Amino acid sequence: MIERVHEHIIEELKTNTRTDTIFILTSIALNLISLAVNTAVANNNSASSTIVMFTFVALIIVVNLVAEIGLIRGRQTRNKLISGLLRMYKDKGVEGYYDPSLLSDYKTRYNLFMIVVLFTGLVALIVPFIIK
Amino acid sequence: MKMFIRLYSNNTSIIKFILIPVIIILLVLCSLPFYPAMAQNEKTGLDILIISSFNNTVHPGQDNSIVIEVRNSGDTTLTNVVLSSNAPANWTVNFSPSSIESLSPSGSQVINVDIMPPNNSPRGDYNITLIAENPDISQAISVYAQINSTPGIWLIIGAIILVVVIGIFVYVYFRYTRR
Repeated sequence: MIERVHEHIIEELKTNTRTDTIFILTSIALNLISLAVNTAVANNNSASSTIVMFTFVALIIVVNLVAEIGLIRGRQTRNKLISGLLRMYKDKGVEGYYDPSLLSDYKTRYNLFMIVVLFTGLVALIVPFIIK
Repeated sequence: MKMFIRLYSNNTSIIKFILIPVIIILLVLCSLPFYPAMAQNEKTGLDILIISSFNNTVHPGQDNSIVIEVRNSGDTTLTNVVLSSNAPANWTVNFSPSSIESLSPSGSQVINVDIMPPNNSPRGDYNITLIAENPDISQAISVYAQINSTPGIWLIIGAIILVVVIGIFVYVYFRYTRR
């Protein structure tokens, strides 16, 4: 049974990794697309251009907020799964093979991902206003 | 008789090969002093100068005035000098007066130029060509114009949104991390 649980945790970790990767890549791509569109639109003073610009600004905010919450949840999920694995390894007496400091490494890595996403979002947000 | 014929024949070749080119050269040399005078009489010249202080900034939807001077720098009187412009699409450029009936040598005419970009002109750098021409001569001057948007309004809006968004992100981060 314990092997099944171990496999399940590993599967969950893989799913978690995939989800987080999708969050990061999608949000960065959308930020860059929004930056390109808004930069092009910002040169025009017409009302429709301003509406398009603010729509994309709203999109940037929503996408980045969702990405941030998703990444925080992803980090918490990973933390729980790895903690479970560690307990499992401890029960089996093989905890020496898994360094618990990996948890804090993941925390740092997730924070860095969040900063990257957030900064591309902020750049995509402010640049059109500077150009306009 | 033979001697005379030979002499005549020699003289003919002298006339053909020496005398005629010499005459031509002499004619050309004699006429040279007249060429500059002739050329000077036909010299036409037209200059356009911006005489007002113009800081190159123009405002959309408003008349932006420049004062230019059209000067005849040639030796002949120029008549019917028409002023025109080559400006970006939908820009209005008005000259007052729009033409000069006669401009004597060294004479000049002050012209008021009103440049009006359309209301929705985006911020940027533009080039306007002012042209003065008559059938004999044409002169153009390039005027660089810059449109600045309403100073800082969009930047302030952007900065407010930025601060609010950063605040939301920080709040969300700490709130969800605590859980």
